[in-house]
Amino acid sequence: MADTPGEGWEKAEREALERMGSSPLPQAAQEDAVVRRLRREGLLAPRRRWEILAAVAAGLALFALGHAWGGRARGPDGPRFVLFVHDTPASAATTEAGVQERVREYGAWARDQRAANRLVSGAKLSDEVVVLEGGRPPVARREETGEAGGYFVISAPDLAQALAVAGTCPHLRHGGIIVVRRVDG
Amino acid sequence: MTAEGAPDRELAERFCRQRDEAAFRILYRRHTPLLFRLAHRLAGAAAEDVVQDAWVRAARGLPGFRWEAKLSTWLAGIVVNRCREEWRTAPGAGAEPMPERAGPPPTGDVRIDLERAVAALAPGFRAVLLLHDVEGYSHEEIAEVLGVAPGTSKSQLSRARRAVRAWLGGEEGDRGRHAG
Repeated sequence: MADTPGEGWEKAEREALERMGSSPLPQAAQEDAVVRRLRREGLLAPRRRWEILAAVAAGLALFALGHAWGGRARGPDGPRFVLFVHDTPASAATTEAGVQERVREYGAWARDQRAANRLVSGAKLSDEVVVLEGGRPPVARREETGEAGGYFVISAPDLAQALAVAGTCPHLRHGGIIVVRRVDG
Repeated sequence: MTAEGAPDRELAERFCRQRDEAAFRILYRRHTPLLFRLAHRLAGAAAEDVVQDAWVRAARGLPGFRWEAKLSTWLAGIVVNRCREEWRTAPGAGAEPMPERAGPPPTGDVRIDLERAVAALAPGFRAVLLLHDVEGYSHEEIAEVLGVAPGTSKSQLSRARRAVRAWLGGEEGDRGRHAG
């Protein structure tokens, strides 16, 4: 058998070997777990206050808006969609001024949606995440990224239009993720 | 601002000098797919622990890395060394490429059979075959990863391939090996 990758194997075997090179990836939470370990060991610099704020900029905007709404549901009747706002390492602002700008930007977007009578409600979610799985005790975890940091509920005639609205959210432009789910019923 | 496309060395130096999280995360995302593939094939269910430990060890050792090899090669070596700790506690870590009990007979589906045959290889032989035939490493690079001579890598690859071939060919002709 020849001594170069691929050669010497039959075609189907080569394809099977190639498929071995596309195995599943580790869970995204692993990255944060490694970072936490490095920080505990002092191998990474501790996060500064503005960096912590940066990771939750979208949430801060939602928090401020939530207070302004007083928790009351608004918006027209009709199909509703929940926009779950997920932070990613890439979506964090990189300066304190950037954080303030981000909060202002997200707030302006939410106000525009409200003015267009599309926004029903929104809220920041606590950073504390507790996972329940049948038969096991609750597991608490504090994820720095990956979990939903907040949500908006919007009103839209259909999924396509809900996606169009979600697509204008500045969170996407900053590398964040938005998960859109229709509320059934 | 951290550039996603910055070279490994620049990111590593930024990490070492400033303990920079963003630089580390870019390195992590760039190299983890390969490291996890290796760990997945070499340590099975322990793969996530292996990769996590390997990154912590790499972060500790990075200031001493001399850049005579590619970073990915050095990282792969750390993963294999961490896997060796799993092999010591697992059966089948012997000098023969494939232990006697090589699992169930071929099914006729080449994908399944090859997976099984490779999984049945003793870990050291499996590492050489995966690095060479799946990941495309040269024998010199494999030698660096495994801490062996290039000649050892060559001979182990040859023996590993023969063992896989024998395993696959056990039923050849009778079972329509490529039917799937």
